[in-house]
Amino acid sequence: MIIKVIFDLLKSVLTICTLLLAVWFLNTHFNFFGNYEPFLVQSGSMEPIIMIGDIVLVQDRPSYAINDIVTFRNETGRVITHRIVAMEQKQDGTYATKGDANQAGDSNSISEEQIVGKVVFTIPKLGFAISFAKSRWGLIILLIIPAIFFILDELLKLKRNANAVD
Amino acid sequence: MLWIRRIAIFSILLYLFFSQTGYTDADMFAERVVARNAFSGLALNFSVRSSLNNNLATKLFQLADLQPGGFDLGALKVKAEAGREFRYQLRVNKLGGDEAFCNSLQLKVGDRALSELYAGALFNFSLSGASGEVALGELVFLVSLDEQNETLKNKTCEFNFSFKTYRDSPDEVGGIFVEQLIRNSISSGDW
Repeated sequence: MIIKVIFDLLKSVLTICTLLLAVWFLNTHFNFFGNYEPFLVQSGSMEPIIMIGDIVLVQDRPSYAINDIVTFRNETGRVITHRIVAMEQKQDGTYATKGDANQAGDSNSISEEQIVGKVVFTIPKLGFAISFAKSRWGLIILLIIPAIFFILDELLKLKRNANAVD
Repeated sequence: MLWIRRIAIFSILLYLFFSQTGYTDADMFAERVVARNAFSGLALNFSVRSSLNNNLATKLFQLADLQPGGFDLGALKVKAEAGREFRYQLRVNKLGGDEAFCNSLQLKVGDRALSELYAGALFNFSLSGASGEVALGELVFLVSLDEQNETLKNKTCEFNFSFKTYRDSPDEVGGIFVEQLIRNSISSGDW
């Protein structure tokens, strides 16, 4: 009885996750809900809000406000996620940023063009899975083997249908 | 088999999601600004000049046809340019030439009153002083060949007098220092 409950629960979780991923995948192509990008956080200056190994989902917005956590590209092209702490008045449309765990703000303020988007969702501790997925074994286990199973299952289904017709 | 298909679809979508995930840093950054700093530089400068006309000296002895018993005199002034006292060491550096001839050259160094500060082999010479010491401000050099060995005929010896400032020890390496080199060339004749 307990095993069945757990199994049903796992099925539900799997179905929901599959649906969410399908929605995300469709959205990347058809942009139903705006432009979202996932990023893996590699360092800890936004702790405890965002921990190392978390995935942040970043949404492109037309404007940003103080206290928004934003992902931006700095002047050297590195992607950084920090909080907007002030709107610079001297230069139009620039933002001063700072990591929550840092004592001081970032040296250079950023323009709106440098901002990739606002952090709207955080998935904790999935970093290891990203590293695995981007490895050769991740490709084999998460993509090639499931694709082979899918194709084989489809072929078996066709064969069964053909036998049923005969 | 339906569940295999579902897991397969989930895995493929998960892979697509992960493969499109970028990386972001959240730079650890700590900075403390200390305002109103004042830095001052200490000039530690001097020059070695000709005793004749106070022009900057680059050469002292340019001797040819030095014979046994022969000698020559030269003089230099060490002048503080920064108006602040400093310490310096005067050494001889061999640049080239015949080993035996170079080693046979003798040097005497004295102050303007000709009080002897050094007498001995040229390449053993070393003298330390401070810019405020009058005796070391004006130096008279006497270089001589006292030996008559025939193997010393038609030889040359190239060397520098090195005037170098120091802070704590003449042998210290690094730090801020000033060095001025006075070039010398001595050739023996035939006898």
